[in-house]
Amino acid sequence: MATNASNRYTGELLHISFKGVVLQADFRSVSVTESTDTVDVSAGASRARTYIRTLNAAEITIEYLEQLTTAGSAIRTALALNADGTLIYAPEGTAVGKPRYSCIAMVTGVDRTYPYDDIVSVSVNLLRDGAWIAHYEQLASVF
Amino acid sequence: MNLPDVDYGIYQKLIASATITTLVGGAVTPRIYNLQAPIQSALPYIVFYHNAGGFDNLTPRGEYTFDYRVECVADSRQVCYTVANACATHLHNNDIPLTGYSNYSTKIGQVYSFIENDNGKQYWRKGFDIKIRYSIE
Repeated sequence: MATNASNRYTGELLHISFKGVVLQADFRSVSVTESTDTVDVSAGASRARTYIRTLNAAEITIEYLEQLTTAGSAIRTALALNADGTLIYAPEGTAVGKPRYSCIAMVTGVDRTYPYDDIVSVSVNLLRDGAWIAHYEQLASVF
Repeated sequence: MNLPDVDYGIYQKLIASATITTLVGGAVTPRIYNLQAPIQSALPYIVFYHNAGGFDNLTPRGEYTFDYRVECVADSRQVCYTVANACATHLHNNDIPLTGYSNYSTKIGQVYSFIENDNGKQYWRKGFDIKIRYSIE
C-alpha cells in the first residue's frame, strides 16, 4: 500500500538499480536534484535581468543501510567511488505505465558512517553523465 | 511482514546457558518466565518481557528494535545480583537467534534495582533493559 484516496504516496514502492545491481531492499532515501545553468543577457536599457538557459545537470543522492560483506559486496562494488553505470529508478514501481527515469551516472562521493551503537549507513552521490535516457516529465518515459 | 517471536528467542537463549539454569532451578525446569512468574514460584527466578519497540520502518527490507526488560527476583541481594549478572553477561553483545532474521545488535541500556516487602519477607529485584535489533534476512 503506497497510495490513499488523496493520491499522495511514499517511497515504499521505489525501484532503483545501478550497474544492474538492485538497491531498493536497503535504501532509506533517494533524492534527485535537477538544475539548469543560466547566462545573464541583460544589456543596454534593460530594467530587469533576463537569462538564457545553457547546461542542465542532475545530482542523485542515495542513502542506504549497508550489509556485511557476505551479502552486501555487490552493492558496495556497484556504488564504489568513481564507478560509472546506468542508473534506473521508478518511484511508483515497475508496473506497466509507471514513470521511469534512467541515465548514465558516475559516483562522485561516498560517505560512510560507523556508529558504535547504531546501524551502519552510507550516502552516495552520483552525477548524471550526459542527458536523461528516460524521464517521465521531460520524455514521457514509462515502463 | 510477520511479528518476530522475540519472546521465544530470549527464552531459548537464556535456557541455553548452564550458568543461568543452574541458578534458577536446573536445566529441566528452569524458573525463567515470560511476563509473569507463576504464583508462589520458588526463588530465585527470572522474568522477561517486551517493554517497548517494534517496527523501525527504515528500509523496504524491514528492521525491528525491541526493548526488553529482564528482571531477576531473589530473597537475598547477593543471589539477585548473581542471577542478574549471569543474564547480562549472557545477553549483552551476543546473538539472540530467530529464524529468518539477523540480530545485528543486542545491548543493555538501563540497569535498576529495588526491593519489595511482603508478609515480612524481602524480595530483591535487579534487572536491565536490553535493546535487541533485527533485520529481515
